[in-house]
Amino acid sequence: MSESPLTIVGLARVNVIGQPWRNLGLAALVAVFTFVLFAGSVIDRELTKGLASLSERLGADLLIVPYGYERSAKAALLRGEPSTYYMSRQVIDRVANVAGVTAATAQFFLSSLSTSCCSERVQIIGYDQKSDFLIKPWLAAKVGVVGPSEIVVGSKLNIDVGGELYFFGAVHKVVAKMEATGMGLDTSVFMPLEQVWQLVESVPQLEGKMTNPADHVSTVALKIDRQLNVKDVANAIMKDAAIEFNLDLVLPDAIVTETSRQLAGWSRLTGFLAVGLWLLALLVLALVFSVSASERKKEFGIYRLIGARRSWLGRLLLTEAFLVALTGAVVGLILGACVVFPFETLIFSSLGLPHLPLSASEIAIRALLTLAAASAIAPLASLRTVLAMTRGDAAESLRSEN
Amino acid sequence: MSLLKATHLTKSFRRGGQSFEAVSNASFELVQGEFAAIVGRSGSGKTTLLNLLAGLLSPDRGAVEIDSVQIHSLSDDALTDLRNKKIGIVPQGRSLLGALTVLDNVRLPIHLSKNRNISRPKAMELLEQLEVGFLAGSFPAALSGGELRRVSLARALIGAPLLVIADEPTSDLDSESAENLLALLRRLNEGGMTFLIATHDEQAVKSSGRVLQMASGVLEAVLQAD
Amino acid sequence: MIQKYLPALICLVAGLAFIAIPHFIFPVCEFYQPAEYTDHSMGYDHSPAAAFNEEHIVAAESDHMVCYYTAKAELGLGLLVILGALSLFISTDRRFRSGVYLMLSGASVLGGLFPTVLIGVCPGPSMPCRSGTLPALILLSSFFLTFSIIISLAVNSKVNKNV
Repeated sequence: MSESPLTIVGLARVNVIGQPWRNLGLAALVAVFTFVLFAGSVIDRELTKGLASLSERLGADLLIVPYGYERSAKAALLRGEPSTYYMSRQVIDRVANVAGVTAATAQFFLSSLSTSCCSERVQIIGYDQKSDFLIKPWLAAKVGVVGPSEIVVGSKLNIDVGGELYFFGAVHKVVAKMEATGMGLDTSVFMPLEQVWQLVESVPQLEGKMTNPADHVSTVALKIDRQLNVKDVANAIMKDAAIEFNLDLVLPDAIVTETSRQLAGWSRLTGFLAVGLWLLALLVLALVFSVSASERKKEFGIYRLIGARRSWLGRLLLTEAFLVALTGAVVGLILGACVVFPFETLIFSSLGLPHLPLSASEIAIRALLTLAAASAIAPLASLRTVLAMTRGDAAESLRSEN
Repeated sequence: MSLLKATHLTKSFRRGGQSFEAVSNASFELVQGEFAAIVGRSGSGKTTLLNLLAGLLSPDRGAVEIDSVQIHSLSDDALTDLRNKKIGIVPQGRSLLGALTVLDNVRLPIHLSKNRNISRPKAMELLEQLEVGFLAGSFPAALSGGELRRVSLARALIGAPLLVIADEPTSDLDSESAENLLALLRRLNEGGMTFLIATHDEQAVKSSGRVLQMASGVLEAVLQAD
Repeated sequence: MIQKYLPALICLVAGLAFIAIPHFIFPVCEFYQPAEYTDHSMGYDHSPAAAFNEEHIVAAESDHMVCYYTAKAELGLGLLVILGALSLFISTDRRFRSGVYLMLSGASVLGGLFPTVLIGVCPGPSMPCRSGTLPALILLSSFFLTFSIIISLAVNSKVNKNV
């Protein structure tokens, strides 16, 4: 015996199930829109956060690298792609004395070898503990002097403070972990400059490969007087030292601007796609509801005959539309979450842009807004039909044949 | 006491660019407990007249009074509520909702008027009375013509209406089913229910106490059945 | 008919997916990958950098990465799921079908355990097996587990109804 609830929602549910394939198709359309909107907005927001992090905390106003290595420097900064390039250590004193430079710190890059099965190459960065202003601001907890065989790791490396990493034939103890930066620093390992130089000298695999590693650095980061124009100081450095030491300059602001441009392009793409799909879904649903309503004229006449008010009938139709849209929206949301979050690393490494993960509340807000936008499609699409169907005499509807 | 009073009812439609009067100046009265039949050929205006009387159609001219209420001066909501509570309608042809079971079809009018508590037992009682109780869990697509008509009648009766209007209640029924249905209507009428049916079935005419003859939209004669 | 064959078809697709994900869609590495250095030397004497361009292979070339073994395990599991799906196409016995769905739900759990707890994948965050293969297998395993449990319960309830 039937126990169906004869409420508006119960009747709407029965009617929606009664046309399974048609309503499944409509729900699928809404699901596609929801998927694109949710996934696109999450990725967009993570990229925006990454960009904000990049511009806020790059740390340096100017980076000095060997000539021809500008691109490698950007790749290392943004994506943590291991790089190895070197210049004379004398560059530090030379550029530090240029007018307008208020601080200078050097870093030495080394790439680990894959010495054991399945370990990934990581960027090892030697930094000057005394003059550093790039690493210390990012440390999650205050740490004193980093001693021999001690290292600091980036946030994305699967190891905690107190753990040990093995490379270059030695065990290195993790004494600190960085906060997430959204940049290449997240997959890097940091140790004092002196330690790196010692490694290069002592590791058998690297024996004889570099004479006097302590005479070399990979990059010098500079802070410039706020009163001065960074480009002016950069030009001064180029004139003074670039040719002699074969240098290149990287302006972090330029990286930010370029990244910002790429992000804007991505945002435009996802925005157009989402709006386009929303309009497409609205149009298709409006057409389908209109056709469906013509077929159901007699059914509506019967409802009116037995005493259903026009407003009740309107609410029934809107509820049916809402159920279809909500089903599609929930499915789209789940699919979006199943793609964006588990495959986050893959997605952002292929985009090659800095990003930072969203908090639970940020994700929840996006999910709710997406759900609302998607659920609104069907009622909007059916509004015209509802208004048309609830007008006219019931007798005219009854004359129609389904 | 007069239950239904129709005064100078007229309704026109447009067909092929020309206007024609489906019902022309129809007037009559029905008292409580009567069983009246409107007879006439197909296209004579019987269905249009019934629809006007039930408030399903608005007249061009004239008035309908049911239980002392001028129904066409009511708002649409008020007229709908009146139809739900005071008039039971058995329309021509198939008129059940295919997505609902027989029981739910019968219960639905009560739910629209929000008397949900009484709907289920009352619906079963009516279905049993009409000898289709065993079909409560079935869907309309599985029912025969006669069974559909009985279920429609049960739905019309669930609200204990003052008046039952039935359009061609015995059409597409075989003679045995038609006879059984008419016997049922007579039994209900003997219990005090007022009936107004439209028909071109002679058997149905014989069951009626009063016969109104209709031709080309005009109520031509009012006959007393033997 | 669609009620009987559609779930079996889904199981068949899931079995193929368990095989396809680590072999074709998000392929794992077959052999140990030695370090590669790309030389961007241009002008300045980058002899230290050039020096690092040599490969220092410690492990033998025939060594497999751990993700390779996960892929092989998923291959075996996928074949088992396909076998189960084929039996669903053939059999009409409801009890048997209910049991097969239950078995498949257990298989789906294994499908998620192989790359996580039982065998594993490479630890590097941006390695293809960790960034692609692992999440794909976990998702597939979760969906298939949910699906097979629901279907198993549905078929089981029909069995109890008929008893």
